[in-house]
Amino acid sequence: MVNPQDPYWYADELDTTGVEMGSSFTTYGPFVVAPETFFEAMTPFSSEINWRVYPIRDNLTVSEVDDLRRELERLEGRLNVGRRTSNQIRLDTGLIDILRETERSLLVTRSSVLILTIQLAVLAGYALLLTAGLLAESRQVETNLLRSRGAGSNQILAMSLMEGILLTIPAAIVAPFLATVVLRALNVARPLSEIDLAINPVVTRASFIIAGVAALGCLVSLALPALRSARQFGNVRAERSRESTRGVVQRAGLDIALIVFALVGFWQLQRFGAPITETVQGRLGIDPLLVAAPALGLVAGGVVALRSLPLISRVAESVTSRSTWLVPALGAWQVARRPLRYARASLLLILATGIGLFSVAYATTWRNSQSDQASFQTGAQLRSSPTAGSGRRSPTGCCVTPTTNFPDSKRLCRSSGSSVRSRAPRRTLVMSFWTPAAQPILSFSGPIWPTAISTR
Amino acid sequence: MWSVLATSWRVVVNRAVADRIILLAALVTILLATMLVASGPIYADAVSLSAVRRTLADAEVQDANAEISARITPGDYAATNERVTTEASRAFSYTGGSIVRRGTSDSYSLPDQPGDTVTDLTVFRYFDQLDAHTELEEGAWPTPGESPFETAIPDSVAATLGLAVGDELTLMNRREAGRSSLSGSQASTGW
Repeated sequence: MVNPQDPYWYADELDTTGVEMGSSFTTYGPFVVAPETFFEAMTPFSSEINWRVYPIRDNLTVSEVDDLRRELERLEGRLNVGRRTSNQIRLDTGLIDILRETERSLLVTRSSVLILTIQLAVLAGYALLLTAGLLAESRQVETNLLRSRGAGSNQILAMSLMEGILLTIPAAIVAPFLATVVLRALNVARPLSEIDLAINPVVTRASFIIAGVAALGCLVSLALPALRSARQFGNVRAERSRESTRGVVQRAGLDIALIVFALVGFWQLQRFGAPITETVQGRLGIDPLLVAAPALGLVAGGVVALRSLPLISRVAESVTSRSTWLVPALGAWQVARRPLRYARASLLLILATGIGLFSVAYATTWRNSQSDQASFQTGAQLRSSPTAGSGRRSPTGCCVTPTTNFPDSKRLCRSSGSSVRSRAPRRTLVMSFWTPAAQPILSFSGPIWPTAISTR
Repeated sequence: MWSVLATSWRVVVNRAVADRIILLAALVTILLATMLVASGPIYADAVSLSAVRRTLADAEVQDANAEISARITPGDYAATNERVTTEASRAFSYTGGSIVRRGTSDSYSLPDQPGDTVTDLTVFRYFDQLDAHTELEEGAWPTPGESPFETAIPDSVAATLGLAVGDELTLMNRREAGRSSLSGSQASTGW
């Protein structure tokens, strides 16, 4: 007996069953001969030769998907160089479509990951700026002392950069390895474990480069507040006594530009529906503006909140000052006097909450999208596949598609003397057979969906 | 120069130790941020690779592999085989893999059928590595150079046609009906 599932047989009906029925002829066999005999005696004129290529799929890497697809697209042309059009070599494979779909999926995955990564990077960057600000603030006196003894801004900056190097270089080296460890947790946690898809994250050169760029960004974030602190030498008393109610971003009008960018990004996202766009050459790519649009929107929302904070705090101050309660009045007065000091923590909270809400909405949308796509591709919630036909019968099968409620129907399917009934009278299933039934073996598992009849 | 640098580093380290709590918070933030950013491409590559391997594993054999076919004469076989093997190996150099050949002859009519009412046919085939995927029930694998030549057939076909090891039969080439016939003996039944 042969195993029909063995790829070696290429699902060939004659090779696996010994018989192949045509409309006029029935072929039995095959009669297997030695290769030498085949070419000497069997095929005096011509014969059909098949070369079946079984790639080792575990050797495939993501970076090679595109190259392999291009090679396969060119393969048939290369095989037929110099051959007559009446005697061409044919290539039959679904690999090209699978690899093309994989490239598209990779792009979609990367864009999805990028959307969330940018937002979280913004959050992390801002948290780091706050930390660096705290550090610079606590060292303000020390910095001023250094400046008064002749240290320049560049020297203060150099010390800050050296300190940053102490923190960022180990992080850049360790981060990719730590990321693979954390990602492996997805193999046991949802949602990948739910679909039994195990991933094998490996550290790549790209991950080191990206970690290096991120570490560089962190280094700059650490150094900027120190530089600002060094340049404020002489204005310390003024800075500590009365802070400005407007930050650097607001003073430069960057917040307005940010809001405009976010609105443009939102409009573009609505127009294209996804951050993946097609170039005039027909190639798909990730649009940087569309990928950054949610993060821009998030930051713009935070900036709007910051803009409104002084106004809200002044209103709160005027309201609480009329009351007899001291604590609210003092609190509102303090916030109205130094809104920027509280705005930093508020913005961090706003960003974190915004990203949390976005992530939940994004995950729900993604899950619904996957479910819809699976439903669309499957076409039926229940599918029955009889065992492979033997003898002269073709295999048969049926599928069940719930469509409308069919309250009085108990009989669901009748074929070759067998029928299927639902246990609940009001929950019915009807099946359609698309080939003449031999002896269908119908086995159902899982819940029976409420529904109806479809006939093909 | 080196002493200045060493002194600077010593000052920096001492400052860092003094503000270790804030710097520890900064280190954790930096580590999480770089890990998060680095995990993006790692995750995308890993999940896409697992997905494509799963897709290939679940795909129909014709979709997950490639079949190159040609209708050739015996004289062209060596050159065509060389070309196909070379080009296929080049195309699949990224994954590696194996190439298995199969040959199929023209149709032959089974014996005991009048010429105008032929409905039962057969074909001759040869396979690479057949013995690794089947088990012989009886007899031996066909050897070249025998007269009449030897064949092996599935045991279900042997039962249907009523053939046993050692039987001889004459088959008529459908393409060259009346001009070409072959006499063979069954060497074995298998699979």
